[in-house]
Amino acid sequence: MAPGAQFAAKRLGKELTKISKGLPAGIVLVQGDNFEEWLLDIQVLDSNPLYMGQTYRLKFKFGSSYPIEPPEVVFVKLPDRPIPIHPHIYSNGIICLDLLGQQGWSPVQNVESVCMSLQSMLTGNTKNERPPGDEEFVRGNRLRPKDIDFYYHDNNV
Amino acid sequence: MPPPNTPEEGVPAAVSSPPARARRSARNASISSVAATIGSETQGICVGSVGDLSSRTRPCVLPINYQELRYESEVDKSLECPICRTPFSVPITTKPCGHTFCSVCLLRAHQMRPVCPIDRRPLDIDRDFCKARVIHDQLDRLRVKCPSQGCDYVCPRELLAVHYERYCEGTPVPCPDNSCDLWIARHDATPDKGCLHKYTPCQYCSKQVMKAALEEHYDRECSGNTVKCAECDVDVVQHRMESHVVNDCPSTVVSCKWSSYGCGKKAPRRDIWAHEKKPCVYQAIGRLVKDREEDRLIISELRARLSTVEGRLRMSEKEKTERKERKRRQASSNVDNTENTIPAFVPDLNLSNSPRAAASYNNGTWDSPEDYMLAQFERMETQMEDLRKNIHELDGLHSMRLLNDTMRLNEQIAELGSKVGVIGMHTTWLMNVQRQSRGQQRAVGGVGSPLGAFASSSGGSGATSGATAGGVSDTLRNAPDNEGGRYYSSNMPPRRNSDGRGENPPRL
Repeated sequence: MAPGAQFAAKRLGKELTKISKGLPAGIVLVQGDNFEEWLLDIQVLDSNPLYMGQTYRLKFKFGSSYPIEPPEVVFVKLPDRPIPIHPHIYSNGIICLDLLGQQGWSPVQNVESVCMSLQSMLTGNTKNERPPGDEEFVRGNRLRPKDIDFYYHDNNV
Repeated sequence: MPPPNTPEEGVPAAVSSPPARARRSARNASISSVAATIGSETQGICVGSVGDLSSRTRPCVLPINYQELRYESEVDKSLECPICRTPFSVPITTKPCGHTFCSVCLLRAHQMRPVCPIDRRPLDIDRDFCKARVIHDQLDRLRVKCPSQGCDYVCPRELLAVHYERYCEGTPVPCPDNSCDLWIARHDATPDKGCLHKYTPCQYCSKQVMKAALEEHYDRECSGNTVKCAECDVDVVQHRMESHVVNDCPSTVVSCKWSSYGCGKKAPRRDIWAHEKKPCVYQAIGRLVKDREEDRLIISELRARLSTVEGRLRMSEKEKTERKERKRRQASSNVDNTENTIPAFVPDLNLSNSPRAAASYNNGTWDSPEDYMLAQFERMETQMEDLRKNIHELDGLHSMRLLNDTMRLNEQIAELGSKVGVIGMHTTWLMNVQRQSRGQQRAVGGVGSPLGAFASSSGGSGATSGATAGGVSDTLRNAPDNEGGRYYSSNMPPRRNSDGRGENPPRL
C-alpha cells in the first residue's frame, strides 16, 4: 500500500459513514464498496427545463493522495443516464470545473460537497450547448481529466 | 521516550524558527524538515506519510497513530480536522484566518498549495501557524480506547501514551529476533518464544500461516481443523474441543445447576437443560438461598455502617458531658486536675502499653479500645491540620521577610556597583592625565616624542567616551578584567572597605 493510501482510505471510510447517515436531496450513492472508485447519481431538483426529470451518473476516482489531491470526477453515459448538456461539460463526460483541478481543489472538500457543487452548476445554467470545440476534443483527447490543462475563464456558470 | 502529547510544545517552534538562511534557500526542504520534526516528535503520527522514520531509528513501541484511534463516545464535530475528519492530532491554527487542522494534514496540504485549505488565504509555513492550546486541552480530555489489539482499556487521551507505552500488554513492540523488523504484541515478545513471524504450515490445513496469527487462523479461516465431536455430532474447531466438551457439548454428563442446594441429578447436558427448565424442584430453594445470601451481605454492610455511626454519636455525647463536667468543676473549684477529668483527650503515642489508656477505656469512659483509638486518631488529625496551617503561615511570613531583606540588599549592591563603575572611570581619567603629563615632561626633557603622542591620543579617546574608557585603561594596566569592582586592583588600594551591613555606601 502506498504511504498515503492508508490516509485516503481512512478519510473515505469516514465519508462513507457520514454518507450512510444521509445525503442531501438529489444525491444517491450507487456504489462505494472500495476506496478507489465510487459511483453516485445526481438530480437537479428545481424546474430547470434542461435537466428536469433526468438522473446523471457520476464516477469518482480517488488517488492515493486524496484528499490532498482532487479526485477524478466525470459523468458516465449509460442507457438511462445521459451526459448533462452544459457549456463546461464535454459530451464524453469530462467536466471543466476549477474545483476539480489542481488549483481549485482544497482538501476540505469531499464527495458530498463536489456533488452539491455540480448540482448547483447545472441548476444555474440556461445555455443549451456544449463547450466550444467539443467534437474535436472528444475525438482527440487521450488524456486523463486531471492531466488536461483547462483554462478557467467563465465565472458565470 | 517522551509521551506524544507533550512534545507538541516543540511543534510551533519548529514551524516558526528554522534559520533564516534555510528559509530563503529551499522552501520545500524546510517544509519537509518541519514535517519530519513533527513526525518524530509526536511519535510519527501517520508515519508512512511523513517519511520512513521508523526504519531509521526504531522506537521501542509501535507509535500510536492518533488519526486511527477509536473514541468512547462520539467526538464533537468542532474537534475534527476538516482534512482527515478525525479528532485533531497536534492541532495547529493558521494565524491570519484562525482555522485549525492537524499539523500533519495541514503540512501535506501546504506542500500542494501554500494556502489555507478553507479560505485559500496564502500562508507562510514559517510565520503563519501557532499551536491551538485550548483545543489541545479539550482533546486531552477525550476518552479514547487503547489501540492495542485485545486491550479494552479506556482513558483520557493525554494518559493513553503512558498506558500504551508502559503498561499495555498488547502494545506492538519490535520482534525479539533482531533480524526480523516486524512488530509483535508485548505479551508474545519473549525471547524463549522467538520470532513469531516465521511462516509455519497449519497443522490442520497445511496452509502457510504466521505463528503469531495462528490462533486467529484456527478460528476464522482454517477449513481443515474442524472435527466432529464424537458425542454430539457437531463440527468443532479442533483446538477448542476441550472447552467444547467442558462447557457446551450436550452429551457430557454434568450435574444440575442447583446441585449445591440438594439436587442430586446427574445426566448428559441436554437432559439437564430439560430438567432445569421443567423446573428442578430445588430451583425454588436455590433462589431463596441466593436471595438470602444477598440479603445477609447487605445486612452485614448496614450493621457495620450503623456501628460506626453509633460510635461517632457516643463520642460526641461523651465530649459534651466531659465539657459540661469540666465547666462545672471549674465553676465550683479552681483545682486543676486535668489528668483525671479528660484522660481520653490527651494524645498518647504509646497506647499499647500505657496504663492510663487502658484504664481510660476500662473505667467506662470508652466502650472499646477501638472507640478510644478512633477518638485519639481524630484528635490527632485535627492537630495535624492545625500544625499544617501554622506551618503554611510561617512559611509565608518567612518568604515575605526573606524577600524584603534581599530586596534591600539587592538595591544596595546595585548602588555599590554603579558607584564602583564611576570610581573606575575616574581612575582611568586620572591615570591618563598623569601619563599625559609625564609624557609632556619627557617631551620637554627632549627624550622621545612618539611615545608621548601615543599616550596623549589614547588618553584623549579614554577621556571622551566613558564606555570605552574602561577597556582602554584595562589594556594599559594589563589587568584584563571588565568587572567594575576590580578597577582598583593592583596599583590602587581600595579607599575604604564597607563592612557595616546596614550602612550606606561610601560617598564619593
